[in-house]
Amino acid sequence: MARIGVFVCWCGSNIAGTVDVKKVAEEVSKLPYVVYSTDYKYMCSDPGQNMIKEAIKEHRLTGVVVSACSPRMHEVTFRRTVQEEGVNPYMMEMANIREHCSWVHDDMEEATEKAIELVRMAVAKAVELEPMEKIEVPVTKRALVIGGGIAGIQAALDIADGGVEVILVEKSPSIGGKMSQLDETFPTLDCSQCILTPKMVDAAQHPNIKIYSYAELEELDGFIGNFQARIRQKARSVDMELCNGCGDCWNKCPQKKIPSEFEAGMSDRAAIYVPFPQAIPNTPVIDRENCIYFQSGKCGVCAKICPTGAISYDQSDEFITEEVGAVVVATGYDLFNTDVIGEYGYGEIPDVISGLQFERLSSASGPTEGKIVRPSDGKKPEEVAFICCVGSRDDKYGRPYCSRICCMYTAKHAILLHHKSHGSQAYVFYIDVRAGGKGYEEFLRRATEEEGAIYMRGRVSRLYRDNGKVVVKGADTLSGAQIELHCDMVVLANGITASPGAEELARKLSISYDEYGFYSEAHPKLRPVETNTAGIYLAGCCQAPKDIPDSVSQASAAASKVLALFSGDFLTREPNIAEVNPFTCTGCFTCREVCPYDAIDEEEVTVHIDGKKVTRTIARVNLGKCQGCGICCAVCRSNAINLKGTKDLQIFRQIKAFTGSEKEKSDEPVGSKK
Amino acid sequence: MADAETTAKTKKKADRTGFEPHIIGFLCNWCTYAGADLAGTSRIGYPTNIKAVRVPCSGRVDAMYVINALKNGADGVLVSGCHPGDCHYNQGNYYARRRFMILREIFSAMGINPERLQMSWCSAAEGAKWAQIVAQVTEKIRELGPFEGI
Amino acid sequence: MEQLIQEAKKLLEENKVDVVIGYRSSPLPPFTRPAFIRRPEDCEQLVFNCGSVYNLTRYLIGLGEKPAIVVKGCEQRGLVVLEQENMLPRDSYLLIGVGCSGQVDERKLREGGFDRLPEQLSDELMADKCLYCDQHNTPDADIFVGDEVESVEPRTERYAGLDEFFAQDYEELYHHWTEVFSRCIRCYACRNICPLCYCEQCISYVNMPQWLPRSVADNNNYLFHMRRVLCMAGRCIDCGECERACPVDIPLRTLYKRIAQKIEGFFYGYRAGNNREQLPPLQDFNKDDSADFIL
Repeated sequence: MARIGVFVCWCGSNIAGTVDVKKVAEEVSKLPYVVYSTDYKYMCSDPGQNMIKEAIKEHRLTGVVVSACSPRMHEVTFRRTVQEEGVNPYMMEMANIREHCSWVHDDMEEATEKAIELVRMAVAKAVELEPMEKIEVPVTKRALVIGGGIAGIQAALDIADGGVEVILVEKSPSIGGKMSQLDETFPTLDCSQCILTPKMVDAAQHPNIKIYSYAELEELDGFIGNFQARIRQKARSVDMELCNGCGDCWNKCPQKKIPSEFEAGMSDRAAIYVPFPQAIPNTPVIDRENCIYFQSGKCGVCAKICPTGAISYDQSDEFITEEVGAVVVATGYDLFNTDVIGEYGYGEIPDVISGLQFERLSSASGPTEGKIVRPSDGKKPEEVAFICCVGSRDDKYGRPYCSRICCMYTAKHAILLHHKSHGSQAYVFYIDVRAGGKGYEEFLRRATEEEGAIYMRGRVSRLYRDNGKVVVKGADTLSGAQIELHCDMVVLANGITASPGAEELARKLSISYDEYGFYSEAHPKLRPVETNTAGIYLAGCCQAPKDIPDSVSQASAAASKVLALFSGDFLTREPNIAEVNPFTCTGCFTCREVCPYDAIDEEEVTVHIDGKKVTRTIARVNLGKCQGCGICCAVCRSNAINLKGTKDLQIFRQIKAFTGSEKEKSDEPVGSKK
Repeated sequence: MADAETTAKTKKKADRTGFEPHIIGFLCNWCTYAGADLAGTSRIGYPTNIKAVRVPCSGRVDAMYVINALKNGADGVLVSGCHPGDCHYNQGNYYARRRFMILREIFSAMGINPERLQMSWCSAAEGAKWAQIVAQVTEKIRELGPFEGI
Repeated sequence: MEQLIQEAKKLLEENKVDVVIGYRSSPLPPFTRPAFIRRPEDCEQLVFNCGSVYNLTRYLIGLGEKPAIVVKGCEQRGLVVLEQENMLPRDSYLLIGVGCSGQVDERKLREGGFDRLPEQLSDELMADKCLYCDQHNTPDADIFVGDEVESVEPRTERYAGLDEFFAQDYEELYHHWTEVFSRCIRCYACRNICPLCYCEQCISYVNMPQWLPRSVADNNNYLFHMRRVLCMAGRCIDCGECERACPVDIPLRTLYKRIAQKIEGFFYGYRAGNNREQLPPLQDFNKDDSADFIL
């Protein structure tokens, strides 16, 4: 039989000033199962906690109700107190008579009455509490990082440096990501390749990092600490072991008219290629869709010329399963497709280019070796217009958000133009300039004050070609003047969009995403790197637009989360999870449909019902995945699934205790604890 | 906020006569329960009629809890959770919204005023809103009078 | 029904199924009864006519034999719901489809003192659900027997009269239903005949906690039926078996249909069993669901 002790706290005058604590203690002492009740000035103080311990000993209490502040404040404290006296910590229930009572009411009589009701409800629940043990789940100490851009590389390096093995999966032929395509980086103008390449090399040579390039995640099973990742290694058509990266194949390949992805279409590549000279791994792939051999069966030049016999046309996709305990998603972003903005003529007017194309023009390793020239005739552009917020902060294209990088890279472009193309004039059309990072405002002022960029506030309405020039029509909203500029080149500052396939990957990972396809963090302020699926973390632009420093910070944060997760051999979790009653579960799996965490598995059970053996497929709760929301319980028609710590019976008892016996009508048997 | 405060203060027990509704609130742990805590911390007053049951998520609230609360003497029930999109468990409040939309229709059809079942979104930052909700719900249920069905 | 007999025979002879579930004649209204045919020679007994009112899908769960089953168009929706709820995979039975131009109202046959089925089924004798039927021919049938019924103009609206009835004020409705449910003897026929009530243990039997009081007091009956309305919400296919089986003529469908009507209105035209791919409304959500009632 339950023996409950009730401890009513004064919290100084915080409670006792409005609630007659003596009366509460006295009234609740009359409740069934309550064998002891008392009040004290500060229950959370050492003497207060000792009182509880003494009472547990003296009155052989099986459960404790602390009637004090919010459980969100001191639940942990009092659970520890009872545990120290040998009572299961989950046998402690709190009645919130401070935040929910004394602090919000001022009539003593009414507040006291309400406090008594709240304690009565807590006692009713306490009678039905059950001891619980924390859940321990073993952990596989290996991490999977999806995406080999700067965020993925940083996360992989940090985790690997912590002594943990990392599987790094990159879908393109080389790691490096978007950063490898950039020229110089704001606000310091250090060369992107110069700071990125060493990190790529570090990742490739790190004994704890295994890179799968040209590979994608096919499927993720399991749960925190125990994932199984199925990885599709796409067919490279080149043997990685044999290839020495000499480059004969791509030099001799007869199919050289394929727009290079790395050069943002500013130059061509061969059908067998490495994306860029510093690629890691430095092993080419055959782009089968554009390869003459794969399309017509004739050619085979690369195989003939290869000195090591590394070309392997009959390679096919392979599947590898890796066991990991945590996942960092760092799949990056894509640039807003400017084709959809008809009035800017991108793709039709050759001298209207994207921001990334300008990076390639300006890059010493780019198609023009760093000479900024017009794509149409290769001449030096005298007047260049830069248009901000292309596909950002624009409801028309379903992207009301700010892409966060374009203001700064446009300022950088204006400076680079000034440096590399002497005498050229930059005009920047902006809506608002956002320069919120460290050193960003100073950098912006350098662009306008020292590097001669002319900033005009206003949207550009239309671009069109006239006499070899691009005419920029728009308005300067500060002066109110209509503007018509005849420029040699226009650079569009495309915004950031979620990477293609982001939703599909989210479904594989069971993580959520917002309406734009960016992955949702578990809490927008306090848990910015976790997802709502335990064990899966976010880094970089897959979560939201970010610049490089922010991406790297988040990657390191995600890595530290992974390392913290791996710091013990077991994961310890709160035991408030759902459990299935195998006798009443019908196996309809409605619970599985509503579970946000994919925590319902199938289980074959043989049960004896009415003397007959019956084998059925029923639901089973996955201890590692269940987060204890209880949605499943509320949709179960046979109420065969219940949430520990918030069981139906416990809530029913609270409901009944709420009005006491005033209006009791139930014919339920009285008192479950014999 | 000012409204809620006046309601709480002008409706002191001594000044009132007649019916005081019993209201039970099922509050999600992450948003509304914390919002109610904030109302306390900020000393924003509201009527004493409501008593809270802490649940992990509004999606946890079985329709039968509401029915049983009414059966056991409650005059009104409030289910309150996180705002759409803010659910700690991503989607529990969306399921709850549908569930209680239907339950209210069942109440209407079977002759129980659906207004006895109220639902609200209240975040952990909305202490003042919580006080307002309680005042509003209490007033509503007070107008409906004692629940004498089932 | 020669084709039905021949097909059934073939299925049993070729051992494609263990049992054919259909209808055979009976001397009492509705003049058929369920038939479980296991031998080819017994197939001659099979009939299908306007007295084949029973929803045979009730027998499928836990049958333990491979069946072929005669299912009318309206009842096939129940099979879809059962499939959605993982109770009955589509490949666990063979579906014998039929064309049905309406079924009798068993009660009216009894009251009219009929001693056999009428030659031509008049609208007056027809079950009311058939008057607004939009599924005369079984969809998704493995074998279709007989002629397809050409679509007939519905004579009433599916939800006809409901808005008017439920326009009464709450007090009147409450009194109406408590009075109606005071007739209930808690025989559970409505639940036992329902093709969608398959719980191992109905929660009306569970006593820790006591979800529902068990004694046959008026309010307790009212509560039991409220819970049943909840169970049927978004699932009821309006086959009408509960009302037919009720020994005290409780108009249960008035409530079930009212909720179905509301669900159809709220949740983008959802109708139980119409589309396998569409999740039942209470297991699903839409971020844009109506939020009018939320404070």
